[in-house]
Amino acid sequence: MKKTIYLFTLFLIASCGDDKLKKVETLNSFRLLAIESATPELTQNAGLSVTARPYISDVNGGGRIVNAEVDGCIDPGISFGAEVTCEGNPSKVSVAYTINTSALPNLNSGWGAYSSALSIPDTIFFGRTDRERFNGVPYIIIFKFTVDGAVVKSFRRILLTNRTVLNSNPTLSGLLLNGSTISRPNLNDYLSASVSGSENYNTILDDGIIENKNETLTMAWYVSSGELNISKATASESVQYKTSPPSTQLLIIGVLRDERGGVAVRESLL
Amino acid sequence: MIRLLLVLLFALPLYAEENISLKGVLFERGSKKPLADVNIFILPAKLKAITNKDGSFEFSSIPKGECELIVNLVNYNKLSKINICNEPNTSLNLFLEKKFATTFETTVKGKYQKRDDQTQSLTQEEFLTMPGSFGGDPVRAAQNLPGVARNGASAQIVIQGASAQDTKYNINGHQVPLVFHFGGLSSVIIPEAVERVDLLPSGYGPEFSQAIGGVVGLTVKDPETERTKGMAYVDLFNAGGLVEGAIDDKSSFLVSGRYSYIGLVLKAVAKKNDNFQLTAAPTYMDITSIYERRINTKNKFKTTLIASRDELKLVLNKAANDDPALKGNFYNRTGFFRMIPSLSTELDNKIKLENSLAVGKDYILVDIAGQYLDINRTVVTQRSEFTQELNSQYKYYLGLDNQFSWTKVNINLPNSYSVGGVPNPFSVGDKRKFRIESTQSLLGAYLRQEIKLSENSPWTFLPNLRVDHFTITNETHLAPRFQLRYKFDESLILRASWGIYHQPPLPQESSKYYGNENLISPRSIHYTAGWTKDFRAGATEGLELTNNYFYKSLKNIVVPDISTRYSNGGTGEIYGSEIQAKYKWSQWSSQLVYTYLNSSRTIPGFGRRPSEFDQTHNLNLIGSHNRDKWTYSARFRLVSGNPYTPVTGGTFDSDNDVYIPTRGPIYSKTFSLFNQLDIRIDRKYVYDTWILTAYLDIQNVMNAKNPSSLQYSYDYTQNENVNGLPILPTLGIKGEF
Repeated sequence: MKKTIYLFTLFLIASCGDDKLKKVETLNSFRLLAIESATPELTQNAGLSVTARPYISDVNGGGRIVNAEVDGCIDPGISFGAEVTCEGNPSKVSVAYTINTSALPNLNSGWGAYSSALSIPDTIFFGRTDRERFNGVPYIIIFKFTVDGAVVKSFRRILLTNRTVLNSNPTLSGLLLNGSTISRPNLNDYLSASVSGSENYNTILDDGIIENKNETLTMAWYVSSGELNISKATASESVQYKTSPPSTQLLIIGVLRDERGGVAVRESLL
Repeated sequence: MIRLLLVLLFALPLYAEENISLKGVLFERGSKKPLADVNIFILPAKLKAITNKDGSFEFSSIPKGECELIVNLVNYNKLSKINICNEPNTSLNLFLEKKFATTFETTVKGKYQKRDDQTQSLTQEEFLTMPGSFGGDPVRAAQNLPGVARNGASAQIVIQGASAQDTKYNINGHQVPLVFHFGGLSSVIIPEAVERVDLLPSGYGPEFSQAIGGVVGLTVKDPETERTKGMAYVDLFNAGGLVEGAIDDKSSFLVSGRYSYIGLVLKAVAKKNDNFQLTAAPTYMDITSIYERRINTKNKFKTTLIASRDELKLVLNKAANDDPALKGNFYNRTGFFRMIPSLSTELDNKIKLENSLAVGKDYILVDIAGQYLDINRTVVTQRSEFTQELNSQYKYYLGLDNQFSWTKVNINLPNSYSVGGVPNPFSVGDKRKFRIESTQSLLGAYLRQEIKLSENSPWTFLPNLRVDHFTITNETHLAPRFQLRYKFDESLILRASWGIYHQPPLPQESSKYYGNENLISPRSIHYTAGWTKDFRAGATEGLELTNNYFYKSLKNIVVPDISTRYSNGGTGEIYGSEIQAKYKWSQWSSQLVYTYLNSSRTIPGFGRRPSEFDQTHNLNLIGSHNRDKWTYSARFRLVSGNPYTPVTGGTFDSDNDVYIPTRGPIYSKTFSLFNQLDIRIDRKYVYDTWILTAYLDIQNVMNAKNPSSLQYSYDYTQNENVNGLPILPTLGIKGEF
């Protein structure tokens, strides 16, 4: 009966993941973990361009060349349900992109090179409300990698705004194990991060009120082997390594986000 | 002298035969209901008394000595008492036991005459023992009726392929925001306080509006006027009680309440779970109280208070669906109350006037890690109906059905986007934060007419009309509704109906900040035809067959729109047939309910596709058997799997650390056939002044794995079925006096 009620609870309350599906924190195939831009936000001006670079993990790739296409365009309305694509978008620009991990066999991860500059059309503010211009109009950059015949698609936004204070990337100084410099974790050891760079910013609400907010920094944790109790945590939260450490090398990656497109990454190969 | 002695000798026995008196009261055993007009015999004297209205009887002169008192009444066990004629003035309380006592005895005041032939109703006696109804819940039981879709653990009723939001719920004719508690476990009124549940599917009359799918109505009972009675029960999930009775010769009352402690159990078993912590046990409670006063022979006043509250608080340690925004404290509080005073006036047997008002509040608070939806609404609904039967050929009803609401909304939530039942992750939506106050009116007036061409004409024409004005869309709608009835003979009725129905868009759809304030009301045109054949020929046993056909055309359906958030671009078409066969024989009763359905929607950009509840075949088999104090009942359901939209992959949103699903063809696949067997066993223990009932209700006895949805991996490359409820037993006891 206890099990029945427990299942019933899960059914009623929330779907909180299942052991049979692959874990979000476990790195195994080609995967893009973050896309960084030196300029998460830009002040709208004529003739702007932007670049971005992906953070890739390909722990079982064995070292290879992966080709991609990078598209840039004005956001078609992804937050309202539009498909993530620049196809048919008059503002679309494309560049070819390649990641070469041949020199780095398994367990590799790291930043790809910055993409070539993508021109942001001057028309991005056309027809936008004052609120949208202040809070930011998104320009999207899409990376489409073709890996083993399948397309791995990822994107990020660059916000064009008329605010004078722009967002910058947060800082992830280091990964910690049980509060000290990171080393190979044992069962139930705690991982945490040394972070900074939470910024104050203003946003205009729907009813016109200007609200001052503080960025909430979040961490996403990844491991090449084993499991974590939680993979997505606040920046101040510790996560627990829930398995015995592997005999082989262990890769741990932390990705810090500031909820406004700012991102920082740290990795440790242990 | 000898002659005198002989006379004395023969006269002696006559003087020795002393007579006694005997009086008493005859009650029904268990319920203590006085039994009137019952013959009571004394043998061998062959004396008879008849009980009065209060069950009392009296024998003024019974020969003293051995005798036998006998009561033999149809549907009751024979009662026999001996050795009661020895004392001079004997007083007795007699308890006559019913052969087949129902679960909770309710005094039925006249047979309910349903207005629309399409209406399907369940009485308290029917829903209290319905298997799969989770302890006799009226709305859960109504899910067995023809045309009602299987809807898993959802807290909504889906009628004839419509959408869940196309069904409206009312109590005593007044709309309420919800009819179920948390997770659809039980409805918001204790079943014993409900007299009847009505399901108004397609083609319903002009009395109701704002529901293009159908209406579910609960009618609370009139409190007991002859005696004080009550009940209390306890089972694995909740406990409740009810007391009702007369206050004086004109007034009566009913008070009931229920509290669920399911959360305490859940909290205990969930304590060691890494994914979430229940910081406050999920609970629900409801209160129903009724006061009724017969002011005079023409006026009756009745007021009903309904209150319902659900609360849940938990901490999501792990981001639900791997969405970082769905992590942290989660709090949900939902509830409403309504005070419904009503005055029924019967000027004569041809003219009636009904006036009622409902005053109340609705509230919803959902807080997910600081992102919240807080709605607080004050509602006043008013209904009036004047009925006059001018002659045997013409009767009309003139009515008003108005709703006024004052709403405060406080939102800090991203806007949501969902197509084909596949939502985008919570954190991808455009962040919205605002506070608004609004006043809205939904005004309605209607005329219902029942016309016969001649007094004995088999034809009845019902040309009805409804006018609605919705301030939310600033629209006035004229909605003609026409019904036709042909009474072939006493056992066969043919019927048809046609009508136009409107419902205003949902508040979030027409919100200035969250939706599209230029939306208009979705509209539906219903066409129905059907017949009912009663083979029982006036008896209570036998077969009753009902067959309906329906077609609905839907226009201006609200659908997600990328540029305007929502638009009226959707259309739809629903058609199908229902058959219901009820068979009763001796202590057996059975029911077969089958619905064939085709429900489709056309959405710009996605084309024509099945709707979410396009359940082609829906078969319910229900049976019950009474044997002494035992009642055995079972329900078996076989239903086509629900359609679902396959997800073919996902795009990584680097800013929000989530994957956005890529949808395949909308509702292009279906889950496997749903099958479920539910059983229920009731055992009654009847004592002189109270009844104890123990019941066992087991849902999904076969523990069938019925997939109800898909759960995906974080990047949508893997999935697995999420099954419906496993085997779920409910054990309970109920005492009534």
